[in-house]
Amino acid sequence: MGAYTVTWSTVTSGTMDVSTVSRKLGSLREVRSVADVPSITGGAWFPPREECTDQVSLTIAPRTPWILVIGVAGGREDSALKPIDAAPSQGFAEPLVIASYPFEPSSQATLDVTSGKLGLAVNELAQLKSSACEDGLEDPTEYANRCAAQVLGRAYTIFWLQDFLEYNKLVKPDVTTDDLGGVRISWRISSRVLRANFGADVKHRSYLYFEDGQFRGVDELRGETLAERLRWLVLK
Amino acid sequence: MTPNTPLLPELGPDDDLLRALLNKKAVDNLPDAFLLRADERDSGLSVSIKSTAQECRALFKKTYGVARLAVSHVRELDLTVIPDEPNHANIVGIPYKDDDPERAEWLAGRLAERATIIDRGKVERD
Repeated sequence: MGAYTVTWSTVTSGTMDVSTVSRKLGSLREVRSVADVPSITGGAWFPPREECTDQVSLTIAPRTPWILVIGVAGGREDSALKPIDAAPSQGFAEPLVIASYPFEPSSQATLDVTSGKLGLAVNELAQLKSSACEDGLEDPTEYANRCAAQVLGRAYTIFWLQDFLEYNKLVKPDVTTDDLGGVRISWRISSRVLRANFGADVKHRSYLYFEDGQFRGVDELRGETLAERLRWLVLK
Repeated sequence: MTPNTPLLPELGPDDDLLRALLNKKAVDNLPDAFLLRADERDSGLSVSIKSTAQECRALFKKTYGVARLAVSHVRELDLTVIPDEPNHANIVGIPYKDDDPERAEWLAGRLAERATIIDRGKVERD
């Protein structure tokens, strides 16, 4: 294994296609150069499968300091990618594969996954798949895992874009599965509790539960609502 | 009552209810242990009564701990404990999370606050 792979999807109904994203790679390289980030070594964009031309992926050589592109703007082809503030201090020690992150046309961000909050959460999700059996848990279903990755990625991106300082107060969530393979992600800060429940399949309910003393409720579980509640979690 | 029907115990407020912790994460995140499993949707939350932690664990192939509640803890949440075997009861009144997530999650949190983990560590039966 000699590379990291980061994959995400464009929205097929948007204006982006693979060639557009490929052009944006040039923008990304320029942004990285401007931000004084070492250039990508051995990196290349390509459709991972011929039948899946709405996806692109980037393969990076080992130990390359790296930023994860969560979204590329759709609808405005000339919009630039957001530069990162500083280069990561070090590269990954081990290869890391992160699952697909579909994004909406309005999402546009780059996140440093080597030290970022999203990286911590994604790692917890990824470890769940490997440690479920040993920990007595049901394996997460493909459906629940995909939904969790999508909503988590979108929520963290939105929060990060809205308020970077508050975003940095996020704590690492507990990630587990229910008895049917649904994914449950929980955060707690002081008396405030947030539990995202991703049903094992479409027949089982997904929801976002929040609680602070007697104040409690359930929201629809989407990236936007989770971002809003994560912000509520840290603001006190 | 026929001679083969076991006598079901009456439970007092100080009697213990033992909930087996079937995965490692539930030990650190106790509310998850008090959500109904799919197979408990109709019967209620399964607990051991008149049992030791070891006897509670022995009902399962793999356990990671045992949590204890008093009957009074459950009753103060307007839930009912119904014995159905000499060493087993169901806590009735907790909704399944698909049916009423707000109440299911809230009750899971309150039960977890009242519970004490009395036995920890992975135990696997042959």
